[in-house]
Amino acid sequence: MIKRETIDAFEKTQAQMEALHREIAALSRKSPNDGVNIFKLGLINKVVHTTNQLLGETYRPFADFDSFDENNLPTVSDVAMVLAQYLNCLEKYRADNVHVYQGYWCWCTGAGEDCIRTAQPKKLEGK
Amino acid sequence: MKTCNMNTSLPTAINLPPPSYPAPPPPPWLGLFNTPLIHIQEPISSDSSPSNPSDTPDSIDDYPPIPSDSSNTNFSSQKPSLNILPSIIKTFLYSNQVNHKPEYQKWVEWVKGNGYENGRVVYSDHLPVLLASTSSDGIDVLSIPTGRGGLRIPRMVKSFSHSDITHITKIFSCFNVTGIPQVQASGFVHFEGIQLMVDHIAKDRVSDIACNFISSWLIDYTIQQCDLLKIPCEQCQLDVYAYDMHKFVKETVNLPVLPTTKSPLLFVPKRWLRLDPWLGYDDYYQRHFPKTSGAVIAAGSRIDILTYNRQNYGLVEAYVKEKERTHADCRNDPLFSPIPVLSVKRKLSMVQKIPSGTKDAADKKYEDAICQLMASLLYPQLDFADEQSRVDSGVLIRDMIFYNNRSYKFLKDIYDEYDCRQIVVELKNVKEIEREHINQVNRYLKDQFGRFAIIMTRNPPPKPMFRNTIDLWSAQRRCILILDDSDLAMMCGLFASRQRLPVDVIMKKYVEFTRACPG
Repeated sequence: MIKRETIDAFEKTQAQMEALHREIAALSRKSPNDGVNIFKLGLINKVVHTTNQLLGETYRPFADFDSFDENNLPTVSDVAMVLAQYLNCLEKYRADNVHVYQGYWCWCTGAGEDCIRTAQPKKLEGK
Repeated sequence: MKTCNMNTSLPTAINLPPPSYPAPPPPPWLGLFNTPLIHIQEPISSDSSPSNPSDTPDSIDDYPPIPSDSSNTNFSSQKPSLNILPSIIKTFLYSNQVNHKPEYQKWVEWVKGNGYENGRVVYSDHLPVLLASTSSDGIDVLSIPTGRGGLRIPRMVKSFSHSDITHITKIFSCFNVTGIPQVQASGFVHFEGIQLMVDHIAKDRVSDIACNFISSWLIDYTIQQCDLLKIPCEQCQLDVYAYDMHKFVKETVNLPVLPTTKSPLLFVPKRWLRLDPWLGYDDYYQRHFPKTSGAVIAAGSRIDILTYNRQNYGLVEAYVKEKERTHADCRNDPLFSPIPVLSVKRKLSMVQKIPSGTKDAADKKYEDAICQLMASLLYPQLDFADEQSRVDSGVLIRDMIFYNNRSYKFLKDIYDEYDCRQIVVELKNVKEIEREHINQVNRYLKDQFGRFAIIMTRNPPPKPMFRNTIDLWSAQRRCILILDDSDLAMMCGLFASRQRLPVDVIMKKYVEFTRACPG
């Protein structure tokens, strides 16, 4: 079962992660070996940190990765790749916590709680 | 004005622990005259890194003090690296800003006095003072052996020849005879204007003149710096302008001297240096001199233009007024201008096409290109790059050295960790780095440089060689980083995109290096 607050946090984090990935992927296509500036890296690290907390040890893409080290000068393509991993893990987390209820995909909330609708898991799209 | 840049040598001889000495008192006419003779490095604050030249502090107090430690000061053991830089005194007078300064008033009175006295123009009476002020025995770096790269401006010490004096006297007299009403009324409001009307006087002479008038303060400043940095001084005799008497008087002072010729040297704060004056002939001709009128046809040479200016003083006046209006832009320009992004890309492309080895002087081409690239990429965090730095005997030639002014956190870290006062960069245009190359760099790491160096080469080092650098760290705590073409490309990429500083690539390599170190 998953709490409503967690669902809210998840949806926010996933939206942020998708937006970051979209931006970074666009930069990566232009110049993959470019560096990511400190400001962007700081924001990305905040979202990554929240995501790590949300996913826990089970769903984290890399057990030994916590955040990007500014001193390591990660390139745009490095960041894009890691963000893509996080996006997939978030989706995996969501897919494991949703079910079909009366023909709609809903989060698996506790008994007696309102049904919170969500989208179909991406792995089932087109099937 | 000829300027001697001792930045690459002076700090070398000095241990630079956290400093504490008060900044010199600003001269009353700061902003009026920025006279470079020899300038010494004023380290930028370790916790703030100006990202561009325009971040230069405006006042003396904005500058952190020069670190000094007399314990390791040994100038005699080093051959000073004297780079000649042509720099110009800034004599633009902000009358509305500094009117209250008594020295400024004296200066203005003097300038005006040359043009106006008791209701009539008497240039010729004051001309000897003016001409005397253009020679500067004693404070010039006149005996610095050679200039570099054709950056020559006529020697500051060169006195006017008899014919020059006659000519200038004649021109000054013309002001009186033919009469430029504005000049007759008020003299030269901006002294630099003289170069737009009188031949044989250009920006260097203007700089010389102003320099001579502030020599008194420069002497004080030099003595103060010498005391702090423990630079040996000798007794010298100089001409110093006495404002009350309106003439130069001889003074005996203790100043550092050039070892070879015993010529006295004066230090000038770095921020005072300019490559071009705010009011200048070149700027005037390029941007303000009418190109469409008959003036350009009439003005075939500099002399024609000067004559035209005298006959059309309104043009000069308009130019001066515009420069007055935009005086906020008159800031000290950096002595080093990085090459533009496009040139960096071109240079990188050129470097990548150079084959490794020494065939067809490929190594020389590689070194030239890398020196230009690195100096631009690492500016302003690392400044005062010097190529082919030699020791006295000439046995050791370091391809490139940077003065570590600790203006960036990483640079401060390596200073603290490895006593890195100057960063040695060795350039190796070889396919594969070898043990001998690392040993060679290791030999270069003397006390005055610290224990940190960089090898620039073409390809990533083989594992045993990287291991070798780690072993060196283990045994002697010396850090030798090896950067290859991919790192250079990344630096260029960062330089172009401005997302991060190119110096961060060195930091990245350093982090990788430290992670590979044992313990």
